[in-house]
Amino acid sequence: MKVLEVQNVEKIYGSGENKVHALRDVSFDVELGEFSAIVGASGSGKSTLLNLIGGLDVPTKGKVVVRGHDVAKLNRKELTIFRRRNIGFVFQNYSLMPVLNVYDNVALPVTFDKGKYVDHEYIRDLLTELGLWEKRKNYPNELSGGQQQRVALARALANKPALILADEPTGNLDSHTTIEVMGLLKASSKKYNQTILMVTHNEAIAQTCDRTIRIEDGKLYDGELEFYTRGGE
Amino acid sequence: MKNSIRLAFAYLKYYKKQTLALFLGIVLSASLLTGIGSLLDSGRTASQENAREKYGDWHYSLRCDYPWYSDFQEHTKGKGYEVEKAGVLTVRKIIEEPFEIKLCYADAGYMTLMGRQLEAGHYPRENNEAAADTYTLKNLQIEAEPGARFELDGEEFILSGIISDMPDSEGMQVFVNEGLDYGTNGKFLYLKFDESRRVYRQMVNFANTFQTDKTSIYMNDKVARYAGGEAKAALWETVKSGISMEGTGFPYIWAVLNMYWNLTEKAVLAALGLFGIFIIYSLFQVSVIKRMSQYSIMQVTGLGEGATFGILAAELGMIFLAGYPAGCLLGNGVAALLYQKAGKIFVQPEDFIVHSGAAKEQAAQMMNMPDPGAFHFSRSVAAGGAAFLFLVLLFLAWILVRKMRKMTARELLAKDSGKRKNRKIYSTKTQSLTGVLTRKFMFARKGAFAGVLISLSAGSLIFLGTAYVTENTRINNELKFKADDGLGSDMQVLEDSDVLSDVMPEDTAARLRDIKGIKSAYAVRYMPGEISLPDGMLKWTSYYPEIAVEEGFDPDPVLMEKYNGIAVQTGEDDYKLKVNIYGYDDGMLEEMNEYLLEGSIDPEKMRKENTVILKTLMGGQGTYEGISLSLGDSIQLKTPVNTEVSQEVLKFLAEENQYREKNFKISALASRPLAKVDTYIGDDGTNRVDIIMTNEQMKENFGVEGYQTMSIRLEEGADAEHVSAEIQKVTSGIRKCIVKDYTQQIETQNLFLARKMLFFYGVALILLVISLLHIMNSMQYLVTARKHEFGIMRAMGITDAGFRKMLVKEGLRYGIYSSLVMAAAYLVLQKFLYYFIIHVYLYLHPKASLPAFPILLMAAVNIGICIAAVLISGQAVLKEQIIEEIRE
Repeated sequence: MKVLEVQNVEKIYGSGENKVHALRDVSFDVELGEFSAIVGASGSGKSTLLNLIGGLDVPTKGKVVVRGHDVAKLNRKELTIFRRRNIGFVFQNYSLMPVLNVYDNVALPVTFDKGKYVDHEYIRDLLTELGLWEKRKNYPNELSGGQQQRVALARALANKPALILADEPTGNLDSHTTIEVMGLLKASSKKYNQTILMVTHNEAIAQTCDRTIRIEDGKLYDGELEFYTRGGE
Repeated sequence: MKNSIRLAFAYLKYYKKQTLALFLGIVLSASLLTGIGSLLDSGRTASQENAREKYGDWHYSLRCDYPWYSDFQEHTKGKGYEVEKAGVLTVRKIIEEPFEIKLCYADAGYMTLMGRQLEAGHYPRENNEAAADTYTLKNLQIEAEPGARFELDGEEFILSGIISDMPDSEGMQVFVNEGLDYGTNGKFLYLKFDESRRVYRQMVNFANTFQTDKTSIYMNDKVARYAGGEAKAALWETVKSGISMEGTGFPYIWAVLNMYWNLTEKAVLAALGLFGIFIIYSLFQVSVIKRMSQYSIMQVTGLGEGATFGILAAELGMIFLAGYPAGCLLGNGVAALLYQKAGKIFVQPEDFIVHSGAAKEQAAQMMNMPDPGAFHFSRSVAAGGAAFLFLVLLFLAWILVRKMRKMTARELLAKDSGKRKNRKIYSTKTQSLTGVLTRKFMFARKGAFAGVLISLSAGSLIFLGTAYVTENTRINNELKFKADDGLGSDMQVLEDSDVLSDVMPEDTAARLRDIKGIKSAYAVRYMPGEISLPDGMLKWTSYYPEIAVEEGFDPDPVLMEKYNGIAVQTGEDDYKLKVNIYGYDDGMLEEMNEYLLEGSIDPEKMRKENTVILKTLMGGQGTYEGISLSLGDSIQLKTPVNTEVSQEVLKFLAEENQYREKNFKISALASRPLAKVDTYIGDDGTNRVDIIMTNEQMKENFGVEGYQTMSIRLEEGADAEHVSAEIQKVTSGIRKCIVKDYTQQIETQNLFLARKMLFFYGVALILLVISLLHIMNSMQYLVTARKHEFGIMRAMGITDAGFRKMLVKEGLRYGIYSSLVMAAAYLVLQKFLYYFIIHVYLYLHPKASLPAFPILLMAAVNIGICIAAVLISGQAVLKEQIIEEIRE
């Protein structure tokens, strides 16, 4: 079952002389439960693609369909609610709320859903599984980078989204913590049958995923084979 | 230095919004400071010029029929003094009947100093010729036409010329020929010193040069005070006296220093300057805090604190250099326009309340008073303001550098600060975390939160303070206008006499009331009296020179001669005090309610129980405790036995059978009398005691039947000139009876008061607008500073409506908290202002507090502005890309 369809997406920033083609005619699908890595050099358009899929940005051309919904056709409110209920984000810089403790940071997206009951049992399980239960009352600035990224992951999972978009989740972490976080992502993907789309520039990490999507100069090469057969180096 | 300027310029260009806000802040502060400074200065100059016109353009006068005078004529410029103009008035004779009139000869210098010009005819050339002004001629009922013949003190004169009106400092004068000599001359020299130096010092040097007694030199204080005419009080001596002398304190210190250093104006300008600084600091702080991290990075890369200071100072300096002159231009431009339209409101009012005759021309002149003159740019305020603001800006840059140092250290320590943090998990207790987030955002930095609240409440606080003072100024002006200036009635008919039998007969009042156009005519009966204040009942003995025993504080020789002074000591703590006894109509007694200190005024009850109102002493600090008499106390009143007694009896030293004594109970205490009589012991409204009763009581108790004054109110739209002429007809046969028409003056005064109030509220409104701009800027900063967090929340799925709701809650909270701070601070400020207006500015019957409505209104404005500001800023956040915000 397809969770994500990206069809002929193009993204252009600026105009005239300053025009930058961030993405050119990008198309691919992602199946339910698939753990895909998007790799490419800095400035290749990986993060732009992720932002378009998450509805954080709008494509200049083309279509992004998540769970059968054309993201571009949703109005602001629908898009916000759709994103809240279907997509979980993990950012490279963790992006935690500094004024909230671990527990409240994780529960935050759920509380935005009016009338939705915060599943405290589930949050407790999540935090326990991620090894954060003891730290639940701590504030982000009292945690290490790895711990903060785990909190960010827990927050992305709190709403039980179908699709998790992770933008360089291990970019700021040491190798030990990187392995730890990757393990958690995989385990989560399996346990909750979630689709994960992870941007990374670390080839080794990408190799551990089910699938690698490579982007160079805004163009997409699905898998290593395609990349090299089309002249990639 | 070059690099600092380059970097500062780059910052200014990059942060355009902040630069603009700061530029506007400086422009508005500078315009307010320099504009109001110029207005006050222009008003002051105009007051000085008006005073010259009204009281004559001279500083001191002294008798000069001494040998030194010829020496002076050769040395008008000497060691430490320079006489710019001088004139001599030779008083040939003073006549008492029908009015007190001086027959005098004046030289050209005197006429120039007094601004007296020949309007028609010529100056007397023969001994039987005389010249006078229209006011004197009118009162003498002489036709103002050269050639008219009249008699003065049994001597016949021909009117040779009409002289322009006399200044207020002189009495009625009739000018005669130089050759006319009665052998009783008094020669007076009038001096105007060079005003570029303090004139007091010059007067002392003058007195020393010519060996004259400086205590016998009379000062034209209304003019000389603008040129430093009085000895400057020593600062330390004044403060010491204020602390050590009983009954003085802060009001005394302020009053003395205000007299010599014009503290009120300086305090207003200082307050405006401080307000400007506060706004500039807040705006700059917002701008700097926004890029604190960049400074930190630069410091890490080796930028020293001195260089950081250089950048900040250069930034402020550049904006200041552009903003201050622009502000001066704007402020002075607006001020010049305002001065052109309503310059009168800046001219001190006491300088244009002059007494006029009934003539229409004179009344019409009142409409033009006070003359505001031309607006002039105050260089001293502009230069002083620039120096002050610039120094403070440097100081602000230093404070911010210091703050930066502290903040960086604090931030470094933050991870291990050891501070107890709230470990509460909110999501288990509440369904929505937005409220929690709002609270946490607000209280994350308590110092900053307090700063924001203070700055938010500052504008409305100033507005409320101004409104409070303005409202009380209005009340005070109106009350003093009626009582002290005698402008409670459109016209007054009065006996300009100190002879008790000179009164208007009872039927005159009835005839006056019958004149068409007269709405009411309140008649006043008068009798001088004496009260006994034994056993220390008179507490403020130092108010009366007769009993004060203070060097240099001498009794008025006229009052001593005619009435044996006001106060007389009869035992160790026993005193007798001369008082004015007034009989009022019921309508006037009703109006006395506005001046009530204690008790109640019920004319019916006063008649029935024979009780009186005591107008007690008002102290130099606005207190009324000079005499220990209160409600229900009895006073013994001694009066001449009838109105036919000789002048000697008014000294209260004649045989006892010349007097009668009566006891009265006090039913009310008042702060001022209405319709005063000045021709006996005088009544300045403060240090004379008055006993007020009904006219019927005056007749029953003292046999007084005739009236001393009549206060007349006209019907709406009545022809004042016609009524005045009719009144003149009715009163023409009555001895020493004069008519004064105040209609134009009242109109001018009312206009003046209305404009003055408008000006006060205008300034308050400008301050409010500036502070509102500041609120908008602060709130915008609060929102934009959290863009990153808001980006996260938006990515996590908060809807636009949810986001706005959260901001509204925050704006509401800021509005409520700042309103609470405003209300609390206002209560303190109000107490301070109340103390000041009572004890320093001696306001009559001020309100202790403003009604709740303006306070609630300001709170509502505060809340509204806070909400609007966060919503506007929030809208900008919603317009931005989420991902951009997260990256911030």
